[in-house]
Amino acid sequence: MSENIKVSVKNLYKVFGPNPLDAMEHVTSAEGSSQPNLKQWLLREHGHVLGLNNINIDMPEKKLQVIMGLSGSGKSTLIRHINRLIEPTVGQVVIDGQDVLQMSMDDMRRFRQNNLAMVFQKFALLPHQTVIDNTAYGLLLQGIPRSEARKRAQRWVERVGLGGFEKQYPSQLSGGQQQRVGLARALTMDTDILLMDEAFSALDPLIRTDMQDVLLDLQEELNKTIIFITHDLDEALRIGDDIAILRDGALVQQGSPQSIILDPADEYVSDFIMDVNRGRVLYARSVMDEGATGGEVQIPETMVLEEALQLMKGDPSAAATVVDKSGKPIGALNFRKMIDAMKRPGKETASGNVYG
Amino acid sequence: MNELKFSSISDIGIFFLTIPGHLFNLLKSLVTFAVIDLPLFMWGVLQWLWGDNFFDGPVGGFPVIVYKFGTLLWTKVWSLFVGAWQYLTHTQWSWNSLYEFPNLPDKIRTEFIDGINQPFAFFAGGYSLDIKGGVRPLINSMNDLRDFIDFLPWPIFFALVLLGVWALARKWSVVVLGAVALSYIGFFNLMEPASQTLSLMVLSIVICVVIGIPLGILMSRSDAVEAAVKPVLDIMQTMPSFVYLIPVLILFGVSPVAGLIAVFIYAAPPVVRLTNLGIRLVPFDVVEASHAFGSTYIQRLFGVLIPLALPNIFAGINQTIMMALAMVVIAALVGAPGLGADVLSAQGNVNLARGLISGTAIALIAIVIDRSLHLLGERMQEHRKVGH
Repeated sequence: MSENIKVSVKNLYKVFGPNPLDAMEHVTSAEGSSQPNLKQWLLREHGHVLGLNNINIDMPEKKLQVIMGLSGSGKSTLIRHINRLIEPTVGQVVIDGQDVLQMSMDDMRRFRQNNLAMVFQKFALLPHQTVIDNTAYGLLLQGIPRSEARKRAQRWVERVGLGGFEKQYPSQLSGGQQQRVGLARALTMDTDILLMDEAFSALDPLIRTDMQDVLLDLQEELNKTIIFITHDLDEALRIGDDIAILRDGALVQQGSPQSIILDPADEYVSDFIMDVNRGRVLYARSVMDEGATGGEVQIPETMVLEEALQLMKGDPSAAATVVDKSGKPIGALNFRKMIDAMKRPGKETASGNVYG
Repeated sequence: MNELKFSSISDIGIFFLTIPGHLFNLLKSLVTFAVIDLPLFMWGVLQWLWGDNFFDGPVGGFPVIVYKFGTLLWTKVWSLFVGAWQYLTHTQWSWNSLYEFPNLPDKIRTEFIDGINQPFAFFAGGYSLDIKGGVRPLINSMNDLRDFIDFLPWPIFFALVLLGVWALARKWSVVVLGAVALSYIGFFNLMEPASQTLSLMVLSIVICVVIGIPLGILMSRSDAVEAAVKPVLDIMQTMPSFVYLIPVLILFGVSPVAGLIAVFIYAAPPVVRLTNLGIRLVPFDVVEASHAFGSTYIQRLFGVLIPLALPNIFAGINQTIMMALAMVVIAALVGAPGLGADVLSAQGNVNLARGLISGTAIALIAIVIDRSLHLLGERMQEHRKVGH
């Protein structure tokens, strides 16, 4: 990838239990012998839980990196390693070329204040403070005077659509509004990196989509490095520039949404993506015949198939031309190809390439 | 104290002229306590711990005491072992032994009792005067508080108390209850003992809170401290108060301070326990969020932990006050004046009515304080109520 790497996780292991370092030695020695399921083996034989197993992820700058996995896959543990709410057993977390694990606790505290803001699944607002004071919380911790902090917070309260709610307490707000406060609190810190731990998982579906729009909207304007944890594949595909899938504490696959749908790394991932609405995820570019020439209808390369169908329904038999940003034709798209790509794969083809 | 007599209207003016003087006295005694008595007391304790030749190192004083105490204790314990061994080897064992648990023979029991009493008597004999001198400031400040309450004309005192109740409870029914309690105390001529009880209560509760809350915070921070302090709190609450009153009486004599210590030992545990519990019950996600935004422990403590634990801390303070009021009679037994002393003398005279009169006054004070603090705690919770 051409982008700069902002956050880089290298050979990260986390073992939970009474004696993690000893258990870590077992893990290292077992890795050569190709244990089929390291996690279960460690729990059975040595009574330790392997939370994270040799994680290597490079997270691009100014992009939205999604880390996905079911509960127990270690995704929340992983995100807490980035701001060191949890200490790893072994490994490195490099942010802007600096290994955060080498920092003293005091440096780490300042680093969190200046570089890492976080949004939490259960909002984690201070119940005894008003919306505006909650939003200003990070600034107040830095010793910024209250009036100045409130002034800076005010902008973000309004930006997330909570203008007029400044004097309310969190318990007087709905879940969606509370998470807007959580988001505003993180944005007020004005950091490069935003960590979002299942930030929208506790919201109901309609509000969740709403919040995703808010986030995408903000991201267009702010271009932060966002690390977003979720267990919801649709959410991951909708907002992620890059997706990393975790299973049992190990990284299964990392790539763009397109590449994950089109080329799942193993059975687990392909089972996972089976029920996805492909028409809403796949780009015209990913499905087109490269270099072929199409008809009159022009389709931008990053349009999803569902919308492309709308444009092409006038003359279903004719192929459409796919054009890049400058309007130069780069390929052709026909109905047959699109329907093949959009149909839900059967069990037997689940792990195969869908349209290959 | 009160020689104030109003015979003509101009005396009221004279009374008002005396107010600054009285306020000055109270202020002076408080400042004296904080600036002179307390440092002197600390210095005395330090000298006592280190020995008379402070700058030359420990040649007398506490280390010597510890040494003598230790040797005494050790000889006693050793003789206990020797006695037990002799007992085991010289007893005629038979089937009857199955029916009699082998209890300690009298000689060893005496040794054991002496082993505790003699070192303590040695300690008390050497230092009880120092200790009595050391706690003198406590008695002084208690007396100053009582004098100040006595000095206030009753309308002003009533108004101040009712204003305080209103500030805490913000509810007219509680203020009315307070007025009823005050008039009851006034009608039965209990103002003087009530002010004595009140000054004892205020001082002991201040001491309980000042020591209890920091201790609770320490406990919540470290599991080791919690494990160490918990059994001590259990003992403080369950050991019959007469047991620890024995050494307290020997060391402090029959005095209000002995009562103060009795109240402290019995009443301090709830505030310690509930501070600890309250902080431990603060939702983890909020604490984690505070960490994630880069807070120091002090910022977390005052910004998150204490505010969210406040309902529990208040419940603890409330319980402490209730238990302190329950102790006034026992405190009276060791020399604390006040309503408790009245109850005690009524009991001595088998006078039901007098006992009831003073007892009801204690109960009324307790109820008013309880309601006020309860409502204050509830008001602090208002932000938790769902608004829509």
